[in-house]
Amino acid sequence: MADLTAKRTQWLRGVLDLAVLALLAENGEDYGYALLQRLEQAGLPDMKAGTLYPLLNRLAADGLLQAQWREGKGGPGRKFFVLTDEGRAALAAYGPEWTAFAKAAIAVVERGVNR
Amino acid sequence: MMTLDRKYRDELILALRLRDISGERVGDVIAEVEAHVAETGEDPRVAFGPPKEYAAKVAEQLDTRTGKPSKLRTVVGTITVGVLSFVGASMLLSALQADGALVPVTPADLVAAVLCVCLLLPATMLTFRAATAVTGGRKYGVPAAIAYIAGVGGMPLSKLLLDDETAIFEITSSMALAVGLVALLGAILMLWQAIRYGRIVDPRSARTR
Repeated sequence: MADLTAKRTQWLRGVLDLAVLALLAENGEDYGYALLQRLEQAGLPDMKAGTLYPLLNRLAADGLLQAQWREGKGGPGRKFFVLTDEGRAALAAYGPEWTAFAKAAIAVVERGVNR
Repeated sequence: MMTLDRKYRDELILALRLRDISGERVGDVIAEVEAHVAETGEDPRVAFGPPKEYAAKVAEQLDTRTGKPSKLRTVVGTITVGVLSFVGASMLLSALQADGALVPVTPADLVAAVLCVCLLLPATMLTFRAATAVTGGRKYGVPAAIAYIAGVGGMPLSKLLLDDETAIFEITSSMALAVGLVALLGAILMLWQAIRYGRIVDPRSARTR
């Protein structure tokens, strides 16, 4: 059986785009490392920068986010991602669909586990 | 402040370049990795994975709008540069050798040109593929070797076996000179465009580096 960290990473990949859109909907914008920390705080750990950054750029290319480099205080600068109207619309459209899907998946797994 | 180690940076740039990713996008990816490492102090190999693997992940998420040219465009571009260089060089040489007389184009000339375009150019592209493929390099290497042997061997053979005396058509040396110069200029312009496409730009300062 694969180790739990690998399993969690696999599960998270399926919902990562929606999770990112949802986190950005809370405060409108954020940058890569802060999003990794917020995913961890939300109970979705083990996501690597090497998976998140290409996805953020994919969402930006699709018009769901807007990317902006900003000067850092004495640092190398940060790339912020801002949720666009299109991103909000995608979250509103797919968010409830995902929730229904996840509930169905939970119900199936629970039925099996509780037998 | 932790800085990105040069080895990782250079290997990542090379891996991204081998995937034909635009210089603008390469600069953006490097800036992201540098900023992340500076802020977290993490080892880039742990945070992003080995350079080759991270370049593959980056390329997976890109399309023609975001810094990855279409395969068709790459193939057509390479063939066009090859044809322009071949036509340009051979026309220019013929014009200079003719010294004001008419330049003949023989059946052997045409076959040699076709062999060059149809075998040597694909052979060069396949060799590049074989050298840059993450796995299965032999799949490209063997056809590349066959195409090279057929192309290199076929060109002098065509001159020996086919008629290289009778002209199918003739053009004036000034026309050959003009065609040669225009074709070479076209090839140089296309190569210049390719160099500009690959120039790495740091998005934080919009400077070329």
